Amino acid sequence: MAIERRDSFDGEFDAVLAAARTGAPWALGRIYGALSPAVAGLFRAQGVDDPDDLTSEVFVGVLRKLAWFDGDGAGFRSWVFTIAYRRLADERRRSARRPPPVPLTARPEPAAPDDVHAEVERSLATERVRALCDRLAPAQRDVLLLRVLGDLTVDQVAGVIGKSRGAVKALQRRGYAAIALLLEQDGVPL
Amino acid sequence: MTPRDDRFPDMPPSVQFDAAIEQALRGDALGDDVATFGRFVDDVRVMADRPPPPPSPALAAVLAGSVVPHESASTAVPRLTRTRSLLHARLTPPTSRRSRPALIRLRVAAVPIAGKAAVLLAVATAATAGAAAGVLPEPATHFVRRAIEVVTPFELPGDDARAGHGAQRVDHPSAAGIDPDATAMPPAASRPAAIAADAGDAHDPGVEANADAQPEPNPADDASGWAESYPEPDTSAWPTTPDRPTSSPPQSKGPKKAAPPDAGLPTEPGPKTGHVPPGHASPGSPRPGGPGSGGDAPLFDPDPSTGRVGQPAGKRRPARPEPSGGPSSNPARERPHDGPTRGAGPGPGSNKEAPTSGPPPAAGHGPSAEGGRDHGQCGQSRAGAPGPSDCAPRAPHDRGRGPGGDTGPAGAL
Repeated sequence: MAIERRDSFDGEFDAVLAAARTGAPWALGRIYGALSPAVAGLFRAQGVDDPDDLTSEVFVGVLRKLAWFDGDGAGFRSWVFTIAYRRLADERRRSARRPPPVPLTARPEPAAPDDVHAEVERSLATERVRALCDRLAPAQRDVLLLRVLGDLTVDQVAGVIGKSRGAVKALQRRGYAAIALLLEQDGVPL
Repeated sequence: MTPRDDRFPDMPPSVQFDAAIEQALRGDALGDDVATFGRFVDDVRVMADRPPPPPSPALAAVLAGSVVPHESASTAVPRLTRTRSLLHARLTPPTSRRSRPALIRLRVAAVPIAGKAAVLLAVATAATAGAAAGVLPEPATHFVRRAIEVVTPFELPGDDARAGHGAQRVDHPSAAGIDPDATAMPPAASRPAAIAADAGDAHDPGVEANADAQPEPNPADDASGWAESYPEPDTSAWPTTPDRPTSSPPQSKGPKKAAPPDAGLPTEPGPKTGHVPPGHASPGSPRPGGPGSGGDAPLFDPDPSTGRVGQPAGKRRPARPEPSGGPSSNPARERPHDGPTRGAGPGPGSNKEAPTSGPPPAAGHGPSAEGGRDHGQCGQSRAGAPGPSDCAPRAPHDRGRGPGGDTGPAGAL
């Protein structure tokens, strides 16, 4: 199943950005709705304990600093993932200093999803992705997830993680080869 | 152990990898070789194909537009204060809760140890340099000198050495800014007999006797052995003054030991041109080192009268104050030309006439030949009865001084 990538803003990025700078709620909500699933998926694939809360923290920072951004939609996407990547690094350091959270014994029953089939498929896909990403090198995982989830180019990924373009390419190749080998060894059907 | 990233020895060409990756990311139709990676990409995108997560209250406030989404409208995430160096912190106004001394202490505490050490080293270097150059005030110089002498094995030139140096500079006529010619000729009354003999009356028996006189060891002087090793030089070869009168008043010629300290002319040049320690010679007293009076002064004073051969001049202790009362309180300094009668007997007083008319003193003993040594040590002149003041006890370091406590030109021997 190939998912068609589409423009998050439908060619209206400049108008949305200008409205968001004035504090228009519709523009802010549109920015959040267009990019927050990818950011939350990045955090989820990285194994963050509370990806939704960290995603909200990222977008608070993004929306507060809209006046500082200058560029197009692709640049804005790269800028958002740059902030998300740095928040992820902060979260890793923070979690290293704190004890792991203990889940509540009596968890509330989640509401039944509207589309149970889609929800089950997403849950299985998340488990498989996390199982694979846990066996990758952190740098390879970062590059592959940024390229897939963020839809970033090699140069943009290099700018996000602070490495050279050649290093990003090398990490990408090694990650690709590692995933292929792991899938062949485990025989896990995707 | 194989590293984690080196598990794939046979890497395909990078172009092939890059093309397959880009093809999978675009979602194009994938071949069998990259089908596994394509499925991974699809699975990741399915994972991310979710509705937006529920925003946090802070984000919800921002999204609702109730909070201006600008940097100044900080709502949820408080901005961390930037930790700057305390050295660059601005001084808080007086209304601040933190007092100024506390802030200064904080700044000092914020300086690293290396910085503190550098500051201390710089201060110590500056203080040492200042003390050595003498630009610091005297108390500060003294303090620094003491500190250096305590913590280091070195000894800086002290006050006594400095004073001695000053005396030496004053001794030198040229150094003192005095015309040597103007001061070279002392008054006839204070002119030593030996010079007078060289100038005009070389056959004066008194002069010859004085010139040939050997310093006799004094029982109280432990420098007698030195005196034997260093005989008195022949005064015939000493420089003379051309127009020296030969017939001077007896009372003016006699007391060579009573030559004025500021006579300006070294009357008895000799080998003992050591450094005159402070207190042993007045600033104006001529040095017995020849006409230059100290220009070639050796580092160690071989003055036999001191009884401490080889001791650096700068290390001598200052002279003890002279006993007050009596002529021994340096009458020569006060009455240099008057030929002070220092005693009733023929001792010093009779020697005054020895160079010209009087009989020579016994073996040159007495102030005329040995200067103040006799009087400086025991005060008993063997040539005659000593003056009452000459019997005053003296400190060992004062033995080389004349009756008045000064090392007179003749007494330097």
